[in-house]
Amino acid sequence: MMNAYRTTVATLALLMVVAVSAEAQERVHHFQVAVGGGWHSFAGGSAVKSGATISGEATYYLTPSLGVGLWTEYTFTETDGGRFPPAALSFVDSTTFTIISQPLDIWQYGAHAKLQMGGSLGPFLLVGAGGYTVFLDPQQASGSDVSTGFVLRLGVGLDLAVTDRAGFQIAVFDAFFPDWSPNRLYPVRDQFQNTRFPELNPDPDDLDDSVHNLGLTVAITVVPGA
Amino acid sequence: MTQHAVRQWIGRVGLVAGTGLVLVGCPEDAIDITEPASLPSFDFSVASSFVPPTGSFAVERLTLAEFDTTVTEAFGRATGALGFFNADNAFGYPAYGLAGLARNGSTDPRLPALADDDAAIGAFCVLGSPPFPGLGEGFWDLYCQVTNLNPNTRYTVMMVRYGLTVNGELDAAAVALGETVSDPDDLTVLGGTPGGAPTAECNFSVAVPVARDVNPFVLGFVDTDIDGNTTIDCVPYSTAADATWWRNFDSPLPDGVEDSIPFGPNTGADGIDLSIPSYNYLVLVEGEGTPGDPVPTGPHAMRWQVGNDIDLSGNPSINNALAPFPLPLSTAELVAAPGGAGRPDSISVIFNQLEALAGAAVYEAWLVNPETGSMVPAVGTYNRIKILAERDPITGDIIATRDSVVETVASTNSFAGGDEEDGYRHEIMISDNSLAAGDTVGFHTHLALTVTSSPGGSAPSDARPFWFQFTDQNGTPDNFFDDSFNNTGTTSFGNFDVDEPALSLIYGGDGGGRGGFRGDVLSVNLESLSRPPIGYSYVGWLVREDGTAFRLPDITGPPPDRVSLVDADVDAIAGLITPTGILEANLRVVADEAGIEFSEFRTLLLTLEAKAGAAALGSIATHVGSVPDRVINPPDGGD
Repeated sequence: MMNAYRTTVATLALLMVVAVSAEAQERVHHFQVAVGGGWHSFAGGSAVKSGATISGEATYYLTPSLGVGLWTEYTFTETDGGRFPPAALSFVDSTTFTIISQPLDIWQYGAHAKLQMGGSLGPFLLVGAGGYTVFLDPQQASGSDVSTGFVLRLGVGLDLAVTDRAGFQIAVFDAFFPDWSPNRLYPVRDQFQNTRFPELNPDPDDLDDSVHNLGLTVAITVVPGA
Repeated sequence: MTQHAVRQWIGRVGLVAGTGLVLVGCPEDAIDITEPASLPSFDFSVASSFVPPTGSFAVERLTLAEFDTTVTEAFGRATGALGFFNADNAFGYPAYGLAGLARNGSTDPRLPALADDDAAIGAFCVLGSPPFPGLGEGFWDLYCQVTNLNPNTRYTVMMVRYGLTVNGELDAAAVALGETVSDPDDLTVLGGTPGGAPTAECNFSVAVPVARDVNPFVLGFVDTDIDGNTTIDCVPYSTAADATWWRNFDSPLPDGVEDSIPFGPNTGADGIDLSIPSYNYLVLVEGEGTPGDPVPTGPHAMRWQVGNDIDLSGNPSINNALAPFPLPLSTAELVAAPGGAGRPDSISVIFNQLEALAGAAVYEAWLVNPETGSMVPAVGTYNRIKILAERDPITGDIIATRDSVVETVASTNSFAGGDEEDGYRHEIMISDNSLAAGDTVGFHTHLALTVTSSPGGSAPSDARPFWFQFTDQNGTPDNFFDDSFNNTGTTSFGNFDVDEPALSLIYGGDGGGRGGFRGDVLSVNLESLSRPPIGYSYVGWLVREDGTAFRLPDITGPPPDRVSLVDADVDAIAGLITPTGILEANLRVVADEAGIEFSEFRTLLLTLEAKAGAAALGSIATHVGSVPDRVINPPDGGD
């Protein structure tokens, strides 16, 4: 997985190298729409594994250097069962200790402001806020399989124009979940949780109630009507 | 390459390198558990042989303090109209059971005097209802074996309605109390005209009709053999026209009991009148009557009182004059009767599974009366009893046991114990004589066995694991008439509340858990354990095949805090110890640190140990688990 990830990003980086020779897009009083995908790496304390992301955003440029808009992102991943005590399943004369993970989708959405610098690379700074919705496997979740929270988003990126209407965008951002609750991701019922050998259990203090997650997206950008 | 181009390439390379650094820095720090997926484990459950440690007690003797014959039915002997009518006889048919009701001259002093002091009932004596003889509707059968009569003598059998004249004290009451009768009461034939079949032989060959207003009702005669024995087999029958005896052939129970049975009710002074042809006595008279004079004039040999006595007006107004005429009652029977007031003056108790206590600690017996607040040392005679086993010479199995008193200590209320595994029991016998002057066992209601490290105190210690109640004073400690007694029973185990015995906590032996081995670590999780009695603690043991045991480190609460539960009997730890139990507990040992090999052991035990007890494995094993075979015989030398 890591190799494919790196290869993909390296290819996109090469595309950027080619694209920077084009002129910047004409966006003022227009929307820039970006659709793409990428990779979302969640903080270890979140107990969520990294996963692929599809993303989209629409930014309306008030001035050449300032835009506002909406963004959304959907990540396909799974819980990091190793962050929780293994399940202890007892049989006649043995007990099997098993790490239990479960599929997990996280949908993030919100609004942002975009500070754009000039030039052919079009570096920008994104500041946003919104929410997230976590979708757990309803067959495994011990409680509600849907939960929501608040997200703050801070990112930097480059808008690489290929033509005056189209281009690429690469962005790296930090998604801060201030009210994360990792224990809701633990599907093992009390009676099956390992308490016999607590040394097998990860340190519960390694789980965090507020996490900074790192994301990378690459998108195709279009400025309709420009 | 121009300067602009150089800057452009530097920017491109920087972009790619920065992106790479971002990727390399992505966290992938999930904890990697490398333990084996499957570890040996076992259920740790309540031992199938577990029973709370119990002893047995007995009220050895009661003292009758007073008997009030003026109490209605003071002896409590009322049986009701059908009290003697049942199928509990040698034949299994519904019948009046008469065997226990017969009296002779030595057991019934009333007049007419019974001349024969030895006459007795043989193997059976019943008056069977129609299903018994099987002759049809209305046919009854008096079938009775009598012994020790005069040899080769003829006797007449008759049913009589007697009225009683009481001379002085009621004879029935005097005899029940074991007193001598100096002025016997008189039984007088009351009402009716003598009749029946005086010349019929009672050998199941003649049926004698029941008739109204016949009294005595002569059923026939029998002859004794050379040894004075005879069998009465009379068949009285009632017809639909003129008799009221129960006539149903199919149903074993009569309808309309009050007026359809041969013998009157036995309900006492508040009962109903006795009307002929219901009678209250069956009498055996020496001689044979004639049709004109059916009742012979010979001496009366034997008498059965089956219904209650009536006065000469025919009313059941004489208190305590119930059937049968009583034999002397035991002290226990008199004390238990409504008119009796008494108390125990001697009790004994045998305790089992008392582990040996260490140092100065002892078991102390105390007599307690929660209703009066009295608590005194139960001073008596202590016996240490060894159980001797007799074994089969071939199989070696124990085929019998015998108790042997190996130590006796007089005037003590304490002893050091020694558990049953060593073959010991501990008996203490307390009587009024062994208590302090002026005290009596009967002033108390409970006995408690305490555990104390400070013997000789003025009050029992808080550790009171064994107790029993031998008297219920019904809330009236000053009134012995309403007391009731537990003459025998078993001791309880738990926490005895000396102020409110009803609030005493019985040890339940609940809970369980699961244990497992991981390398050189044994860990057992326990849940919902019953709370140890005060003075006791749970201890885990690994037991070898030869019975020797390794004591595990002290029991704790669950990790990570691992709070010690050694004092769970008295400590209150929120969320962990409730008034009745321990919610979670853990036993854990590291073999290397303990210097043991798990493969040596076969069993894991949880026992209740007296804190003041010796360090050895005690006898109150509550939970047991088996060491998995994978630990005993590791396939690769160890997990």
